[in-house]
Amino acid sequence: MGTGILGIAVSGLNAAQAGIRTTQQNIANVNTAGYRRQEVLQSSQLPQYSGYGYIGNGVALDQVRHQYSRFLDNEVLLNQSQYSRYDAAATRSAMVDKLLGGANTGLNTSLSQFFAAVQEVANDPASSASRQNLLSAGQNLAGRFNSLAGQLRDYRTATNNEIQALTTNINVLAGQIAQANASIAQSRAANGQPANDLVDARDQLVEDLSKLVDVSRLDQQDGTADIFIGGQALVLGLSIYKLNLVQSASDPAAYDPAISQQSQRYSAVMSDPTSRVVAAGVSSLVNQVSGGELGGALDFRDSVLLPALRDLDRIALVTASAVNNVHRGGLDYNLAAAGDFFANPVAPQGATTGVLNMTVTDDSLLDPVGYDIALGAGGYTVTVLSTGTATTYANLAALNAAGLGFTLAAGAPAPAVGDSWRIADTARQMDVAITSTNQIAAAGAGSTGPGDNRNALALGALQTAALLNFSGGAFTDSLGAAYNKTVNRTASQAAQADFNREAFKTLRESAVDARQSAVGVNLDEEAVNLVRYQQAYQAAARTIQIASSLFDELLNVVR
Amino acid sequence: MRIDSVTFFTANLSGIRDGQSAIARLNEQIATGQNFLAPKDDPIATQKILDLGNRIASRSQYAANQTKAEITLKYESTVLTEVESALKQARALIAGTSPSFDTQSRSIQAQQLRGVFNHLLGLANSQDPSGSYIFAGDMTTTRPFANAGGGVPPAGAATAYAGSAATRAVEVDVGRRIQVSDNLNTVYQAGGGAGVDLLQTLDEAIVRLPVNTPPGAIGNQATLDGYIQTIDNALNALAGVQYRIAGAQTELADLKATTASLLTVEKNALSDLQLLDQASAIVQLKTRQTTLEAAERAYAMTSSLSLFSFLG
Repeated sequence: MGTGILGIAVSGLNAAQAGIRTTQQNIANVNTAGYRRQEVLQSSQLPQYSGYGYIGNGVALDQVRHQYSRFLDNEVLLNQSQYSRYDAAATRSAMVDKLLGGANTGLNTSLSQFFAAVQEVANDPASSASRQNLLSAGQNLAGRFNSLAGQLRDYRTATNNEIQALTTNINVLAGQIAQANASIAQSRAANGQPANDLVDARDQLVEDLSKLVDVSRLDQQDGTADIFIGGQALVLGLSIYKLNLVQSASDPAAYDPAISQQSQRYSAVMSDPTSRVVAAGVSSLVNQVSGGELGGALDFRDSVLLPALRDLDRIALVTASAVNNVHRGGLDYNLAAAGDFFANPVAPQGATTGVLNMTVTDDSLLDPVGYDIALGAGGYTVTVLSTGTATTYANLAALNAAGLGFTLAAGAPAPAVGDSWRIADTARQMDVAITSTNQIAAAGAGSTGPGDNRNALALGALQTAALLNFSGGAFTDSLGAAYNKTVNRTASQAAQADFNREAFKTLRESAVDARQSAVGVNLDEEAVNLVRYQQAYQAAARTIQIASSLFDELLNVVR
Repeated sequence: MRIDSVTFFTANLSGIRDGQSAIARLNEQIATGQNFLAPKDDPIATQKILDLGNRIASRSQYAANQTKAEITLKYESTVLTEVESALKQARALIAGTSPSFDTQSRSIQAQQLRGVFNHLLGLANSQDPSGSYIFAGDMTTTRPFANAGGGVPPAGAATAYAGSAATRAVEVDVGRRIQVSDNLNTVYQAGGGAGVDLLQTLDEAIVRLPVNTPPGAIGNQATLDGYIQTIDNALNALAGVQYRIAGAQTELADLKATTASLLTVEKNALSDLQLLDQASAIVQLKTRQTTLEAAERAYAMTSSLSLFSFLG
């Protein structure tokens, strides 16, 4: 009986101590990311039967449990992924937006100045000042194309590097999650109790991962969590399907994330998490990834960056070929037949001397990357650079009839077997071909003196002529209007990304608030718990004192 | 509702952050005077701004072309007015003489006519301020009319024309061109048939007037009447050119007025789209400032709340 009294009191002391320790743990971790508040579950111990009923046997400690809501966790993961995605896309799109639309960086000013200079030559065709002005304006326009394309290509390289860094980080996190899975399964098997702090830390890793890529999770009986990217397993228990890179199908200079077809144990991935460009053994994830920073980087690359770069190349190609075709129709200051104003966009390769002059007939059919053209004994072989498809045409007439979106005409010197040309990166390569003001062809064919301006007038007409965006059997936009459409599309996408970022920012915040409201630590609440457990401890200690005095009473009686 | 301490203490943060970024943006807008700091701020307005910008740039160039065409035409018409008065002077001199006058009188008249001849030749070889011959067709670097005078009576020296028949037009609006040069050869060779040459005719009059004996001497009034007829034909042809220039000048004046008013409309539209409404921006700034202050004050007031402060 006496031991019973002390036993109950001690169980109460223990329970109060456990409560105080758990409260202390909660207070200590108030700022720990991913920490879920813990509480002690206690129950009354199995009572003892006596003839007059059950007598209590003290308190038992059942479990230290953390607050937990899978539903709220998933809400956070989902909104976190989308917020990171649009945040990444918005930040990057804003740079391209400012680049293309800025008065000092865009194409508009240079294009207007070029055509104004053409008009000035038409006003005063023999003036060397107006010719010099046109030569400078042409160099400025080509330079603007170069720097815009150069900047966009730098962004493409930077995006490739980012995709590599992101996939490497995903591998690192996947390794850490699988490692945490291992620890959780192990401690659970050994002790039979959930390892709350390990689970919290692992779930925080999953949340960190959701910032990089949109993931879904599947919890297993042994406490491990499997992680999936768009239905494709990334982590299965202790195994990982590592992420690597493959060359993008749409652009040879861009890389897509790809997942290994073979899994590896986490330790192997953790010792070598770097994602690398590979050719086989992986499947592309470009259609599975739709969230996280990786999703945002891909969105940006595929719907903002690459289309802008391609538009710029297309506008440069049409500008150079249209200006050249008119320019060659005129006579220079000395009444000699004129050459190209801009460097021929059908660029000769190697020792090629033969000249092919291009006319764009339908820019909507042009390959986004470009073409290689080679003249062999069997005719002209055209290789489409984005697909690698090669087709040989017996002669230029056959090539021109093939509906490629452009036609070619032999210039002087005539193309010879063995010659090859490339049409690609036109904006980056654009240059002025003429070197002196005398070479500007202001005069029309058949003119007899330098006072003729018919060719300058024909060049000037290109400013407003519809030369781009072939649709419904005709070109619809001038050079300037086509560029403005590119600016507008980029701006719309950047604005959309901004809008989505704000929307998911709010959603993420409310999901985090809702989850923290359930699982987060409230210091005032812990203060109350501390007082509660302190009082329980004091009361239990008091009962020991009472048991002791009862025992003394008994001893005094028998003395 | 239960709220965890971290959320409680950081709830104000997003309000403060939003307030600060809104104020930074308004500051930048006010500093630059621009409504939009990047195209993405309003993609549709941006498209309009860019299209308007292109239109204003090309219209400004057309306005410059119009001014230059006006100057060129004005220059040409001034020269042609001089040609007209010289022709009338020559006509008056020839009409005022007669084969019956004495040798001295006829010699003086011939000398006066030589002055007019030189003036007409000089006018035909006029150069613009940049040194181009304005009546040489497209051969603007070549002196077009050559006539040394002093033919052998009864013939005058023939005129050599080294220019071309081309005329020049400039673009003064989209697809609209105005001719800014004329061919003076049609006036100087306007005798009504092939080979009739104004300067040659005048030279013939000049070299024959002082001569007293055939075949050099001007025998009868009919010869003089022939000279006058040639001058009249030239005056008629000149009038045709002058009418054309006057028509072109009228067209240009109309076009300039239209271009100027369209430019004003477009520039105003561009400013409306592009420029910031300063007053409303400053009111917004004040409002944002008040909100930010409230958020900061609220943080200061609530951040020290803790039950632990009261236990002890």
